[in-house]
Amino acid sequence: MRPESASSATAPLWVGLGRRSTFALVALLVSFAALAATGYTLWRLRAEALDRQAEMAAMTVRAFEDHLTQSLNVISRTLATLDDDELDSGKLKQALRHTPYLRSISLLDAASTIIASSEPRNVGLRIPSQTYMPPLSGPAEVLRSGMLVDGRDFYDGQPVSASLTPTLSFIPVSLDIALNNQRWMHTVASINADYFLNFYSNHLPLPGSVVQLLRYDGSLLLDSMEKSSPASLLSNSEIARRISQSESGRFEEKLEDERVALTTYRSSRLYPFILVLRQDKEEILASWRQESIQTLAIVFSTLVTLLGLATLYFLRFQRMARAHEESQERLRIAAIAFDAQEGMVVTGPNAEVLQVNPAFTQITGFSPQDAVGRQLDFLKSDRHDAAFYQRLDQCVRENGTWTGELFCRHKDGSTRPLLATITAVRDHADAVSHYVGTLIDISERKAAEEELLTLSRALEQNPASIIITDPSGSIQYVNPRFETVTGYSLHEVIGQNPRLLSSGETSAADYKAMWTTISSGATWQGEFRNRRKDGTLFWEHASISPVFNDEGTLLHYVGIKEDISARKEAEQKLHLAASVFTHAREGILITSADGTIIDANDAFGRITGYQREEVLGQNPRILNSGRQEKSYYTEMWQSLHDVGYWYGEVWNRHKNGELYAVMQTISTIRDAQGNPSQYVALFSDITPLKEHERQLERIAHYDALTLLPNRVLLADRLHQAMAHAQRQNKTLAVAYLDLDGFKGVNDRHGHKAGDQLLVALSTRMRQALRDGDTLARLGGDEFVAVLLDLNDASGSVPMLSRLLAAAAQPVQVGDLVLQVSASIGVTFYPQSEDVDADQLLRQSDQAMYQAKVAGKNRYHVFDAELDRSVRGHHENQKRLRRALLDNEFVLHYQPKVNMRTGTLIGAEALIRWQHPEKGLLLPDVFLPTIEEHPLAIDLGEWVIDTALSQMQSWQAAGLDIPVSVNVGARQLQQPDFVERLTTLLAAHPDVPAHKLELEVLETSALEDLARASQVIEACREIGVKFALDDFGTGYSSLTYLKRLPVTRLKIDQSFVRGMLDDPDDLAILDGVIGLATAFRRNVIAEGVEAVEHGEMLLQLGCECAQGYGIARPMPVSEFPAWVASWRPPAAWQYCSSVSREDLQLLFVSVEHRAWVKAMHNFLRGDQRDPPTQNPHECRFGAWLEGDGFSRHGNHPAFPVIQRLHEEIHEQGAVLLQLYQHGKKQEAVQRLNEVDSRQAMLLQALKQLIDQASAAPQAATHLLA
Amino acid sequence: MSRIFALLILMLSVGPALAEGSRLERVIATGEVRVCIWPDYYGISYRNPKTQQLSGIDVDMAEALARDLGVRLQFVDSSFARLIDDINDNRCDIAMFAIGITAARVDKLRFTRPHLISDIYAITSKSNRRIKSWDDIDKPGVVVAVAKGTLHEPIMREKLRQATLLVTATTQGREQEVESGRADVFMTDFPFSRRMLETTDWARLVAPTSTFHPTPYAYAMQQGDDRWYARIERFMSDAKRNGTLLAAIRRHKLDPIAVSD
Repeated sequence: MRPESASSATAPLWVGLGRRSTFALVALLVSFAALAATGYTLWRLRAEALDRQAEMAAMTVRAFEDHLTQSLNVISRTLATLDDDELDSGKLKQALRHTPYLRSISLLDAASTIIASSEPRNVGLRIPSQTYMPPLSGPAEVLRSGMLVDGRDFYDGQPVSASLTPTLSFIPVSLDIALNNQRWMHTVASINADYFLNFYSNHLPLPGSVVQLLRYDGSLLLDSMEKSSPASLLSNSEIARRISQSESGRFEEKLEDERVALTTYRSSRLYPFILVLRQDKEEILASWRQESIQTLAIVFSTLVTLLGLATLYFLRFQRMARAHEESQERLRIAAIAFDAQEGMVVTGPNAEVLQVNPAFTQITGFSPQDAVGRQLDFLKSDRHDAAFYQRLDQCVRENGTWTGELFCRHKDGSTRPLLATITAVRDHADAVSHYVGTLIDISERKAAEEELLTLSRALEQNPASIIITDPSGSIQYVNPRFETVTGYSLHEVIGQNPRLLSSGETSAADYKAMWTTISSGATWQGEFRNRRKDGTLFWEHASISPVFNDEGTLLHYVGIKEDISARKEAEQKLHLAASVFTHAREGILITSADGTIIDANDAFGRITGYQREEVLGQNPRILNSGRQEKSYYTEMWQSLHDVGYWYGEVWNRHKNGELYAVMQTISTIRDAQGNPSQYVALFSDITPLKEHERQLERIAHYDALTLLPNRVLLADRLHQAMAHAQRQNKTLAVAYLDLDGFKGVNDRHGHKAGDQLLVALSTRMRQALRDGDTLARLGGDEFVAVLLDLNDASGSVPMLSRLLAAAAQPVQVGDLVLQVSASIGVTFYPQSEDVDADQLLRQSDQAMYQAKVAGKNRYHVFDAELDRSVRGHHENQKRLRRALLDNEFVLHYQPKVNMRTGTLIGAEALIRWQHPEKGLLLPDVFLPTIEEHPLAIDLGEWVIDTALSQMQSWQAAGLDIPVSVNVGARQLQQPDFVERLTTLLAAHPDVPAHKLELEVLETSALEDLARASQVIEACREIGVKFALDDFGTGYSSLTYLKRLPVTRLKIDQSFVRGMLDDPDDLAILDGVIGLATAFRRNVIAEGVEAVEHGEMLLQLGCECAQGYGIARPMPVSEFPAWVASWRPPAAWQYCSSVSREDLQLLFVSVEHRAWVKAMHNFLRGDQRDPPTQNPHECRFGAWLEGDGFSRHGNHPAFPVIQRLHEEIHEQGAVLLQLYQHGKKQEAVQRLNEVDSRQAMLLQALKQLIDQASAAPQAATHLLA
Repeated sequence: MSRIFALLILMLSVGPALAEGSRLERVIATGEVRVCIWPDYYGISYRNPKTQQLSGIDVDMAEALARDLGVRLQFVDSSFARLIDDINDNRCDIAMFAIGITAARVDKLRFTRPHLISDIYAITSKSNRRIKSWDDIDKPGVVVAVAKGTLHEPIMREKLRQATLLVTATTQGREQEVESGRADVFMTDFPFSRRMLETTDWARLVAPTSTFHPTPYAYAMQQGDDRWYARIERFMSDAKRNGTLLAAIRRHKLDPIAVSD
């Protein structure tokens, strides 16, 4: 360290301290001087203020004295001008005019008694003037003063008492006047003391000053201070003492209240009075004090401001001084730096070289002699273009400096890379005065850098992951490939151990082996299963080696790794593929391009019966069953050729000769040129599926028990038969068959026996018919036979007889021999009126009913003519009245049940007319004719009465059956309806009123809503409940429903009948059920004719129902037996309401039925437009692809449904084509193809529904 | 009948004036109106002793009256003591110096409607220790001075119970009595009290603590001459309406005692 550097380090500190303390000293001195000057000035001002006030006091006292003397002068003259001869009161008063301060003037005689006075009351008073001052021994023309007197004048004058302040007082004065004739006149006057006080008070120089008038002997006469009593007459000894020395003067005195007063006194120049002015020193100095404070404030604030400014200036000065020192320092450093290792060149603003240092010469080869005075251009090399130098210039101009690498020309002609910094030096005017350039030769560094760069690129761009760690294993470097492969970035892994990649799948032993190898200085190679940052695993091949320095010290470990995941995966894939090939359940067959089998798997062997070895080298033709036509294969090959694959169903033949169906997919494998190299066929055995399909078809169309066609197939056959009969001009008969006494068999021997009986009878009855005829089982013991190709009605008789005979034959069931009979109702087609299939069934049903009524084991032909005539002929009321009297009316009862539990919940009483000639007549035949007649009311009451009687007798028999009775609008509107009802109830005291339910038509209730609700309310009070009949047909609004206090809603049967194939009806039903739930009303469905109806209702949440599917209305006699024997269909027991989400399934099934029905209608000409043919556009299709797929796609039945749906559409399309080509007949006939698929589809769909309705037993049952 | 009677009354009432001839005609005929004033009445009709110029509200009003009548103006010096005689002896046509309407005067003179109203004020000397407030006045031993002939004389004579009343012949007299201490207070009105406060350094105003005896001021003239009276009243109402009166009141700082209509 050089000595001067040490001193230069400490010098600024000392200099700074010196400057600072000097400044502080100066500031202190200046402040002191300013304060001293101010103090001196203030002190001077104080003295001046005191002097000034003293002078002022002297002047004031002098003025007061003057006023006093002048006033006394006037008095003395006034008294002197008096002439005693002519004096009286008036004259004396006149004299007072010019002396307003005189109260009175009086003349005294020699004995000092007043002889005349301006105040008459004074006369006669004796004035003791001896006490007056100055004292006189004889008469003399001297004004003398007495002591202050308390009072207005002599007449009421009292000596001033020391204790009482006089409110009114005067100063008596006397004057002896020498008259011409050597006589003396004695006068006295009373002076108004207030006069002087007023004057003094008005002229006091300072507030707080006090003026006193003293007699020359020091007695106090007046005091301007009201409080200080002049009565005290204090002898002011100090004044008296001083007056003896000087007539006027001033002095300071301390008052009684400790205040210091400046007292100025002066005696009258002529008369015996002294004036004293006392000024409070505090008051005198008050203004001075205020002034002082202001002055001090100003001086102080000025001083502070000045000091502040000075400090600021000083700080600035100090900063500048420091800056100067620093710049000196910099210059010194710059001088040293100039001799540094870096080349330096200084140029003028025009780039003319002014100075270079030795290092410059060393670097560039140019000596100062070569360089100084020249333009710096001599360093320019051809490695940079002109634009480069321009940019450089611009950068220096704009930023003041430029740093960069510059290739410069060496004196020896070579070009060398230099690291140059060019800095512009600016003068005060901000103009460039110099440029300074520093140069460093970086040739060697460049070369080293190039080398490093090459190595670094090799690392950075290496396709292998490279990882470098320190000897402890912590990562120091990884290359980009490493980052790509592992997902870890460089900064994430720096310092980490490579173990962070460990997946845990590499064994500890492997690691140990690796460490042993590389610790010994050798290279280790091997594979790792590692984990990426995102958690995925990958395979790596690693080569790890230690790196040593020249001394042999271990510096690093370098790992070079390769991601071999792809290779590993490929290996695994191959492995997997081989495994799949081997273990797949699908048969796999690989052929060469020419069709030669080159491989087949195990499943192939299992499905085809051929072992792999047997078929290698063969052509797949060996599998052909011969069932496919040649064109089939042509198409297949075409597809393979065109689109590369083909799939479809193929019937093949097993090695053992059996046919089997496979679903097969063949794919073309092409070589690089796109030519087929191999074909791969995958196929699965779908024979069981086919079987399942067939089974479904059977369930859908055939009765499971008897294997007879069911209602669906019957409908189809009937349609076809009707079409056929029309075409062939033939007659067909529909025979509705019900077994008599079957229920008894069931009851006595059980269902099993009943079922066996049904199976046996079915077979026999079937055999009783011809080949073309159809016998279908509707359910229970009801069958329908369709007899074809009859020439006339009579042609049916042989078959009917055979049917009766077949049904009546005894049947051996186990040990039992069972025998029943049949009642058959027959109707024919065509009829004179246009009828449809449903009507035919209903007619035959009605006729069957007649046959039953007529005694069973017979057939009854439906009399269309009679039917019409009964319907058309208006029976007059007389006849009906007679019928009522003759007891021709009967009540039949139709049970109402809970379908799920199978319990009877009641019965509806229905009126029938047992016509002596026409047999049993239904109410729609006779009731309309009396609807508006009073007879209707009587009939209504008869019904209620009869029903009540019936309930009574049931009750007696132990049957508790609530009965509902229909009430007509007219009856309901009777004013005394409730009373009559009450009477009827009273007649049956054993029947509780709540067991009776009145059914009122929704339409009639709405006719007079107010009345209806009133009656319903009234009935409710006596316990009778109401049900709203035919609900849904009367446009009921919520308002109505709210206002009608009915307990039950009866859903009209039209909705129930339509709900299976009309989505609207289903929606209404769903709505009505929801509505009833919402209003807490019971709900019951009418018109349940088939098991499906019940299922649907149960699924919708409606459990109560009535209808032919449960029981027809029956005579009273049959009712107990029915109650005892009836069991609900098994399907209903497993049905429960589906959730709202799965309600969709019900709707789509109906949508599908609706579509099929629409097909029917269109092809039969009942509908103008066909339903949509696109399987994706129909509602069912839309559901299948949307919600259905997402909700039920996993269900095993779902693909079956999809296929069936497509097939139905395909068949539909075919039928439409036929229709359009005029083959209408054929199209109608082939509708059964659609129907059978539909039945299958519905069966499959049902599996979904059953699963949805959470009834597992049902599901298994139906799947079985 | 009633109309004739009314006419009769009218003739009777104007009869004497017609017979003698109204002062109005005389004034017009002579072209001069003589107005009695009291030249010591500061603010009302004050003759400045230094300039001998008259000033005051009633001087202004007299000039306005002369202008209104279209005649010369002649001031006649008078005083409250001489007022009734000066009017009734026809030394002037009207007295205009804020004459307090008192019962005695109403008996002898006819007054216009008052335009000023002043209470009574007392003046004492500043150093008087006996009189601090109005209530100290009517006390035993207190001497109250009033000038003879002023309205204060009868009022104070009537009102004072315990104090002694001192009646001076002149108004200056009462001031001298107070200044010399022979009397404690003298009674005066608002305008005069203002003069005392403004021109002397010893006077101190003692105002009544509550309303003492407000007296309305008006102009006085002889009784009987209805036409003259009506003419003067018309002048007064005009002066009130056109602001001449108010301007004069304000000019002489008499707002506190102006009669507000």
